[in-house]
Amino acid sequence: MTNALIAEALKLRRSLVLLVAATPPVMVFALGVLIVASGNGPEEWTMQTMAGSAIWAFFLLPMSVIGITALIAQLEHGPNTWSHTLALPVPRWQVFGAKVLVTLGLMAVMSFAVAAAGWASVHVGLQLSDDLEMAGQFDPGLAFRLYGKMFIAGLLVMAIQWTMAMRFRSFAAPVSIGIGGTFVAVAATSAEQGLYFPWLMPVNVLASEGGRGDLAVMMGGIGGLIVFTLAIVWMSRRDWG
Amino acid sequence: MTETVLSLQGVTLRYGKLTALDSVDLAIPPGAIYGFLGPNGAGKTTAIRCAMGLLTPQSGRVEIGGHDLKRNRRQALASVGAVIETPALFPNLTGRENLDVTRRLIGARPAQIDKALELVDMRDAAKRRVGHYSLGMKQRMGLARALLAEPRLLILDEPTNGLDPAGIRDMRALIRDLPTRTGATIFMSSHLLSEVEQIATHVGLLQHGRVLFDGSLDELSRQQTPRLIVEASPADTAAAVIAEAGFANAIREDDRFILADADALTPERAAALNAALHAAGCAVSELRLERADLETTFMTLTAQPEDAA
Repeated sequence: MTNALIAEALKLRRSLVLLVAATPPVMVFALGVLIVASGNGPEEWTMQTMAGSAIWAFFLLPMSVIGITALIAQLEHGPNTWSHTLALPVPRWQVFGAKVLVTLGLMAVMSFAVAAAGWASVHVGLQLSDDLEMAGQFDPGLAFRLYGKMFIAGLLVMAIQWTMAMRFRSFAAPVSIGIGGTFVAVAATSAEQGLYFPWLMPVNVLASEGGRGDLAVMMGGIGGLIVFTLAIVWMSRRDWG
Repeated sequence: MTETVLSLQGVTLRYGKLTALDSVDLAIPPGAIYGFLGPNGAGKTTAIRCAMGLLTPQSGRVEIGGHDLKRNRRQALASVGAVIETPALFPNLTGRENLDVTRRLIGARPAQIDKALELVDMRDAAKRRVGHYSLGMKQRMGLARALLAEPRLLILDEPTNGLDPAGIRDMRALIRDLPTRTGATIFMSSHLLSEVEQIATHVGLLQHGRVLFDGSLDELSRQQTPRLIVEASPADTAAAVIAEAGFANAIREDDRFILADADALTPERAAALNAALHAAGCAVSELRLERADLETTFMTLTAQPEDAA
């Protein structure tokens, strides 16, 4: 399995996947600096951390999932390397399992990078504006909990997007599903039943109602693991003509 | 039972009502260069995909090196290297990195990369990104990747497809030398009859998903009746001499005669006929015993000349 994981990681070299992975933290940093420096952002560290994570959960996370999963799948679909990779004397579940782990690893690194970019943008923004101050102190524990929970709650969306991207040679299907899911999430943000919509689960981590955030983490996490497992089993067994 | 490196036994694959492979039986002996021939759409790539476990036939069995592919997939594929259709490589990686990805997946030693590159003469280009390779270089790199596992069986799907004449010549020479240099048995599909005829020791003919022939080139050529081509004038006199000489089934085209009597066609009979024609005052401008080439045999077996390349 380690070999399969290293092989999958090697495939990312000089690929667009890394460019897409770098975009959200860079955007968060650039936008954060402008907002803080203009004096229009939150003036308290806790609020600042929560506002940054909300943008991530609501928009950047689902969009990043679309891009990352589609591009990782296109690494194989594009040059049509499936027939080579899946004809090797390697258990197929290891090949697909490694792809899942690489996807999750990238999303985890992006979550961390976005959190770090939010923190760094405040410091740079404050440097650019002498008369502004941020009340309180940055709480790394809070940031870790928020982004960590969002990551787990987002597992179901990641699993759905990953499965679609691997299954379909064209990226039109997974991208359409992703855009549709994100749009519905925007429209149904405040809906009571929105909690059960996969694209809204990461957002619900921020819900103030007791238990709603934990339920989102549980459903997204368990649902994601189930979908990932079923997808690996299915893809390992299906024909690749 | 004859030892085989790869065998397909009664492999049938259907897509709905379409039968892509119809009870396909193939036996590839060790050390052979096996040319798998058929017109485009005959089912060659489908058969190869079945042999590599990428497609599951509804019935039949695939054995590689004595291992049943369905039951022992990993053991069966461990002795196989393959280039299926176009050489699918990661364009963002260098040639060496491409080989390294596969090397890690199959657990081969790092030294295997240099050895494989050496075999296909691609050491110098290995540091360049594959996206900048020509098709010929991609074919070679694909071949190098297939050789990483030191395979006993090398499966090449249309290895000269898309190459220019020089590239075809180089690839042909490379493939021809591989059994000696690596000990591998070669199973290569092609729709180019002349290509296969030049390097293959064995052939399989496939049409509409059915195997028309599976055996050595010699066995195949024995299936084709030789023909004696005679061109002589005056034609009427020649026709009378030919009939008198006992040749049945003579086909006459003006002053040209095609004699396809299998039992009568010996060099001695041809010489005797020549003498008889001269004695009868015929001017013989052509008299030749024609052995069937692979293309003629293929045409005869498939009886659909327009399908063949």
